[in-house]
Amino acid sequence: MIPVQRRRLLSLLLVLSIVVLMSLTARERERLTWLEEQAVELLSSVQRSFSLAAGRVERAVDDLSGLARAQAENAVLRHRLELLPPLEHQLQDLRAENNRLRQLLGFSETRPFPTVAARVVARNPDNWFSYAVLDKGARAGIERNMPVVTPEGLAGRVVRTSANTATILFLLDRDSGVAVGIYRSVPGAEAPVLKAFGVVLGQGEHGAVLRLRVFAHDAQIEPGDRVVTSGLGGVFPPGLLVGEVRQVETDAYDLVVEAEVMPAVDFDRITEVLVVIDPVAGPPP
Amino acid sequence: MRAPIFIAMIVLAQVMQGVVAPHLAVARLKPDLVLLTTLAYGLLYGPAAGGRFGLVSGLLQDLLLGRYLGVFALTRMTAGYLAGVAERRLYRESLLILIATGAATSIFADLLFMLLMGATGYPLDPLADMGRVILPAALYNGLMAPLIYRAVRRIRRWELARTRTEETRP
Repeated sequence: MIPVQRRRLLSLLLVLSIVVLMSLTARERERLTWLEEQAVELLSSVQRSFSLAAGRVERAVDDLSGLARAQAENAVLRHRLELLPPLEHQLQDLRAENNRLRQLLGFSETRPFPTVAARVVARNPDNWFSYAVLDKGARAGIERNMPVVTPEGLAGRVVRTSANTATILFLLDRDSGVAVGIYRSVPGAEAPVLKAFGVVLGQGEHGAVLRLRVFAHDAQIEPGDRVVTSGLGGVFPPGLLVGEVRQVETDAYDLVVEAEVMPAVDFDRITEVLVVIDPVAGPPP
Repeated sequence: MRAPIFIAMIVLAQVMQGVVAPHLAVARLKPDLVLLTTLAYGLLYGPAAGGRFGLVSGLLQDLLLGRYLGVFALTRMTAGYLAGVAERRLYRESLLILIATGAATSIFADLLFMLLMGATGYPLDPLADMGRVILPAALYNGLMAPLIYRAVRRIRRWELARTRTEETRP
C-alpha cells in the first residue's frame, strides 16, 4: 500500500507531466512518435471495423424501410423504361453535338487535381474540435497540409499522417484558417467579379458556420457572395469553393468587415473525401 | 476490477463514442459517453479507479487528434476521481441525483477543458461557448447519465457475482 503523502506527490507529478505534455504538443508536429503512431494505427483499425459494422447495420435498416418505397418506385420506373429507347437516341444526338461544340470552342477535357480517395473511419468524439480520421495515410502518398475536398468544395487539410491513416482538420475547427477571395456574379460580366481578399476562420463544430474577416473597412461584401480559396496562404490552391456569405457585420471600430459564411460542404454527412496530393498541378485554366 | 474488464470497458466506451455518439447528436452536440462511463466508474469503483479509468480513456481520445496531448486525459481523470470522492455523499439510486451529477460533471469537465486549452492559446469564446456548448451538453449528458450508470452497474454486479462464485468454489 502506497502511503497517502507519496500517493499525493505521485498524483501531482502526473498532473504536472500531463500539463507539460500538453504544452509540448500544442503546436502541429512534423512527425508522430513511434508510440503514438502505433496507438493511432491500432485505435483506427478498431474504429474502422466498428464503423464498417455500424454502416452495414444502418444500411440494413435503410433497406428495410426502403422496401415499401421501392415497390412504388418500381411501378414508376417500369413506366419510364418504356420511354427509354427514344430518349437514348436523343442522348446520343446530344453527346455528338456536345463533342462538336467542345471542339469548336477549343475546350480541353477538364484536368482535375491529382487526388487520393479516402473513407472517413472516425470523427472527433468531442464537442470542441472538428476533425476526422481517414483510412489512408502516408503509404497512399498523403502528407501533412494537403488540402481535402469533396465534390461540394473544400473540407479541410491533413494535419498528420501515420502509415495507414491520416487526420484531417475540418474548416469548422477553431485552429483552421484559409486565405480566400470573395466573388460576386454580376449581370453582364463574363466571370464572377473579385470584391475582396480575406481570411475564413473556423468557429467550432456546433455552429457549423465559418467566420470571414476582411481587413479593409470599405470592402463591399454582400450576402450571396461566393467565397473561394485565393491560394495566398500557400496551403490551399486557388479556386476551391469554401462557401457563401450569409450575413455581413462591421466591427465597432469600422476597421474590419466580418461575415458569416455558410460552408459549401455538409460536414455532418462526410463519409468519403478526396485528398489533393499535388495542389501545385492546379485546376484547369 | 480485473484488467481485462477494465480494458474492455475502455475500448467499448471509445468505440461507442466514435461510432454511436455521432448518430445520437442533437443540434450537432454529441453526448460524452466516455465521460459518463468515467463518472459511473468512479461512482461504482471509487476515486482511484475512477481516476485511472479517466486517465487511460482520455489519453486514447487525445491520441486520435495528436495535438494538445493530455487535455482529455486530465479532464477525465479529475472527473473520475471526483466522482469517486462524491460517491460516499451521494444517493446514487435516485434518478434526479444521477441526472444532476451527470450535468455537473459535464460542466466541470468542459470548464477544465476551457481553462487548459485557453492556457495553450486555443481560440475560445467563454460566454458564447457556455451557451452553445457547455450548458446544452450538460443537459444532454445529464439525461444520458442514468442509462450509462445502470449499464456500468450491471457489469459491476456481474463481476461481483462471478468473484463470489469463484471464491465459494472448492
